[in-house]
Amino acid sequence: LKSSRNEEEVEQMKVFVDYDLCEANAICQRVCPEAFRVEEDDTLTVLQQEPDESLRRKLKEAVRLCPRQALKLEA
Amino acid sequence: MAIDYNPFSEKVHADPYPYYRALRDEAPVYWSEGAGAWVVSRYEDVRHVLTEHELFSSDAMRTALLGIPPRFNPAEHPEVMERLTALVSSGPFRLEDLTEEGSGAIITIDPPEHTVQRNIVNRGFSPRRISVWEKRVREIVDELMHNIRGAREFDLVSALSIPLPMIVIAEVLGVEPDRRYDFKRWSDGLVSGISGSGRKQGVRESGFGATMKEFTGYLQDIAEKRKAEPRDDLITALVRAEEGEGTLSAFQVIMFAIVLLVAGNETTTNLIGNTVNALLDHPDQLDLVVKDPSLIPALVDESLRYQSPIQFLFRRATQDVEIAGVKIAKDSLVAPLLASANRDERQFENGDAFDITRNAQGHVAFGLGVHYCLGSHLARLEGRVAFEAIVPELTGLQRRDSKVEYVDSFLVRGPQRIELSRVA
Repeated sequence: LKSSRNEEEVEQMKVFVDYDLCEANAICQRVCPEAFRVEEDDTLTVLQQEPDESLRRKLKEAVRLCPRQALKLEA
Repeated sequence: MAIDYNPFSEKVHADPYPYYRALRDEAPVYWSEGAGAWVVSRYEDVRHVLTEHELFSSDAMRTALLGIPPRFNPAEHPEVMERLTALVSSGPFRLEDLTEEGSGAIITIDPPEHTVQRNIVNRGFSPRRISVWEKRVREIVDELMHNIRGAREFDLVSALSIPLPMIVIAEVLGVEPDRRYDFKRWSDGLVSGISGSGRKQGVRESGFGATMKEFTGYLQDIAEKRKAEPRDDLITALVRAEEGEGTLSAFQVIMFAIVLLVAGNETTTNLIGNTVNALLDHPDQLDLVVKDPSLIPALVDESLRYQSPIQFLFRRATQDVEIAGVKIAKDSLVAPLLASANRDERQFENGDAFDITRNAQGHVAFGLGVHYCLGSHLARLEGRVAFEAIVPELTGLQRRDSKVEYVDSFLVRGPQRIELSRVA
């Protein structure tokens, strides 16, 4: 069990946005500006599709706090 | 001790929080005979119900508030028909407008119909678009504060908490702010009619029918005016969706306007009142924010967490489901208790304490998922600007009566009035 968890942790994370749900609340940008930017026209740009492992905690927080639950983090 | 939780009871209305704690600790998924619903009280379970909109339908809001059961068959429910008939008889709409599947207001429908309605208005409510209103909100607060500063004694609720959000939402919507006393009367009548004492009386006796007639009549008139002469306001966006894209019926335009007007004022009014009371109840917290106004945004969220203006919602299980090991049959009503989730110690340490230095992020006072409060950024803006003005004044003010009388609703929570006088 332990080894599989370790494997998971080193696996590359991927960020997914459901653009039908996103309403530019910009919470993700506040929590993790390294990975998210809300543009002038209220569209969301993912700055790092495959973000660095060091951002895992912030990304999880962004996913959890997204008001419309429009974000997903895989791996 | 067996829990006896009925959200409609006087005892719960007086202070629901001990009940919420008992529910979370002893019966996190509890059948409330009084509510006719499974009451869900823990943070993670409430998140689950709110997020999984395919499992938990919002048509339950219509069931709970208007008494219309799912897949409504009028022949089986003569008492419901009688009430609805009384409700529409005096107004411009047909009975079918209320009862048809998917015909409802934005808070009572699910995707994909919900997505269509939401998309008509949602772009206007992003933080960027709402920030444009800050200057105007400040002007309104300044004007209201001018009267407050000149008074030795005043009711904070009628002097600030009621007029501020009412004027703002009236301007956003494009209805006449001068009619705000009517809007407030109609809005209170509606809240009481569906979630307060008016619910127990007939539609005619409680005045609910008459209120709705006036309310819908007024909005219908405005809608007609915007069709003839479009403006840059939300009513125009709604009538455009009716005329151009045909995505709304005439009835839905009016319902939408009513929901925006009511949701835009009742909630923020209570946010302001609840916050002021919480600060007066906790002088140490008041002291903190007076000394450091940069805590005001945190104060807004902690207040929403501590005393949520909307206590709970209703959903319907669309299939047999299980929550925290409790089996819930298809078509049962489920009531996620937002106000209890926000006090859950499993999520918020020492949840019953009012602490503006805590991280209150993640509270579900605005809901979560597809129905997340459209006006959250507007509410936060109004709260922030109002508190920047009123907080410095509070140290020189005292309540004439610390006993709080709450508004006439089991859903909406906030003080009816806060009588303040200058400290001698």
